[in-house]
Amino acid sequence: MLKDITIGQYYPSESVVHKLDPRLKIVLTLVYIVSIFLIQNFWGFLVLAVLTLLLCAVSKIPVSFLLKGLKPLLILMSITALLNLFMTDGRILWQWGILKITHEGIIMSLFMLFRIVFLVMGTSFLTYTTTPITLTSGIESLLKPFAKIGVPAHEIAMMMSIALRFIPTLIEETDKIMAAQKARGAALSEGNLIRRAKALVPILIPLFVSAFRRADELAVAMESRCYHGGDDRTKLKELKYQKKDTLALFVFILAITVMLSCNLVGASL
Amino acid sequence: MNISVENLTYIYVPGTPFEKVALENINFTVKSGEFVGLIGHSGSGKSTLVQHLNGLVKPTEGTIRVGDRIITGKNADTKGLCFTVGLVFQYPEQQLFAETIYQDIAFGPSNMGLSEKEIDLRVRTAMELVGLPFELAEKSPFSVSGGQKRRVAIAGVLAMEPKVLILDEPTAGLDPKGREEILRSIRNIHKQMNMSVILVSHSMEDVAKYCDKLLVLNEGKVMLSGSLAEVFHHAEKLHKIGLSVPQVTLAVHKLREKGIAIPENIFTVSDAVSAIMNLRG
Ligand SMILES: Nc1ncnc2c1ncn2[C@@H]1O[C@H](COP(=O)(O)OP(=O)(O)OP(=O)(O)O)[C@@H](O)[C@H]1O
Ligand SMILES: [Mg+2]
Repeated sequence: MLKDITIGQYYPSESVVHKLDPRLKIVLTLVYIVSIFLIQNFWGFLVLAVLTLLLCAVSKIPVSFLLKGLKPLLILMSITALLNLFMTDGRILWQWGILKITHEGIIMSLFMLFRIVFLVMGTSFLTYTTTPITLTSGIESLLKPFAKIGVPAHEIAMMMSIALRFIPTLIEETDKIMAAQKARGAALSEGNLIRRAKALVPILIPLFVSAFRRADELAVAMESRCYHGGDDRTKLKELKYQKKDTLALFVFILAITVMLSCNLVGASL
Repeated sequence: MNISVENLTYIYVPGTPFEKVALENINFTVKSGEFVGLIGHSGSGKSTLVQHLNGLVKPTEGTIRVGDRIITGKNADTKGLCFTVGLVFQYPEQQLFAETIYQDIAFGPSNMGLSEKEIDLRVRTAMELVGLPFELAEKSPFSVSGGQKRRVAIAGVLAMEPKVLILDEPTAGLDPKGREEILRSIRNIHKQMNMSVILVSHSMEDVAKYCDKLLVLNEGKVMLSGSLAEVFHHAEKLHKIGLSVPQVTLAVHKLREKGIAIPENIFTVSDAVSAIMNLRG
């Protein structure tokens, strides 16, 4: 069950997108996030949907995998949609007590829904197509200039890659501890909220104990191999900006331009 | 309490690229009071199999009978089964959580809804059975040695007084002395409490010394099963999947090839010693 979460996962395949420079992908993702908030009507989302499908094809990621990533956000999405549906003033279509649905509300809630969906799907491509290690070395490289003003770029990157590395391990561990406590009759999904919260104690404590133990062991292992951060540390795989990255950049600019020029077509919301 | 497993198949995460057939068409029985060894390579499905017996994992296909309970299908009702079939996990010390050893051992019995008095009695009995002095009861389970932690975890399952006790590699990661002590306690528990015991292990020496019956798993299937003599008779077959018969049994086989009239079915060093002494008359 915990294993069903696909968001933030890496999806291995041999596509051009997978081979792009991670720094480019990170920057483009940031630009993408901003540009989503600039979309003003549904034409923009229509174009974006087509572009997303194209990106799926190019990066060889099944659309179903992309949609599965939305599952954990279902509750957030429904709340946003419902709030917008009932809370927007305008031409009333239906009313019951203080609850009302307006024409504007329907449009607004759909609009917000699309925004979240495309925000999540678009940004997911970054993690789907980039291994955690490449991703962190990209972040490190992007943070380098800030090292002069005291940002610990290498340390941040190292912490991130260790954290990412241990997520699956901890999930596996949680599953195991849950099974072990169930074998002693722990009722994990019964009773009221307080009882359920209490039932978490036998799971959380062993989990913390083991996380600390692992951290300790890792620290010793790193130190015994003379790990030290800092400037004179070299990399096995240097990041290289290539021709295909420039090409990708142009394609991206073109796509965003097309998407945002839709704002000129039809009325904005 | 008899256990029988019929045509059991289990598939992890079916319908995804990570699909894995962990168990395939497993059949076996464990009769009341038997001491059964379950051996097999890493990844052969031992842990998956034993988790079926106490209801943690539900069969994809097939049926499991525990006493008069019948478990079949994904939605089988397994409530309370974990109190009848006690399962000690691999590295069970990693599940300790309470402030004191006493509270940790009492976790299982209190989940059964027993009275304070009954719980107290059970904790004391369980500690005694695994050889933990009662002075340790008020200590933190995190402050004792690795071997003692493991005993605390085993006591936590024993305190539920299950009819069947399953131990998943209870000696993994312990030194030879610790292993011997744990296994001896298990044998005592088996005799005193008249429990059926299923011991999951990698070590042929250990199962040869303590078990009456063996079940050998290979890649999710039962490869051999039966008495020690029946299983160890297939030394070749075991060798092929990277398991072996106990060293002393091999030595006895060699002696017999040389024409020495020593009985065939010898599985422990002490048996071999007395057989050889007999030879000398
Ligand atoms: N949660 C899971 N999801 C997917 N596959 C799993 C899962 N747990 C186990 N498996 C797979 O099922 C198979 C059997 O695993 P199992 O843990 O039962 O083996 P085992 O015999 O207990 O091994 P070991 O001696 O290492 O403990 C293995 O191939 C394993 O990779
Ligand atoms: Mg196992």
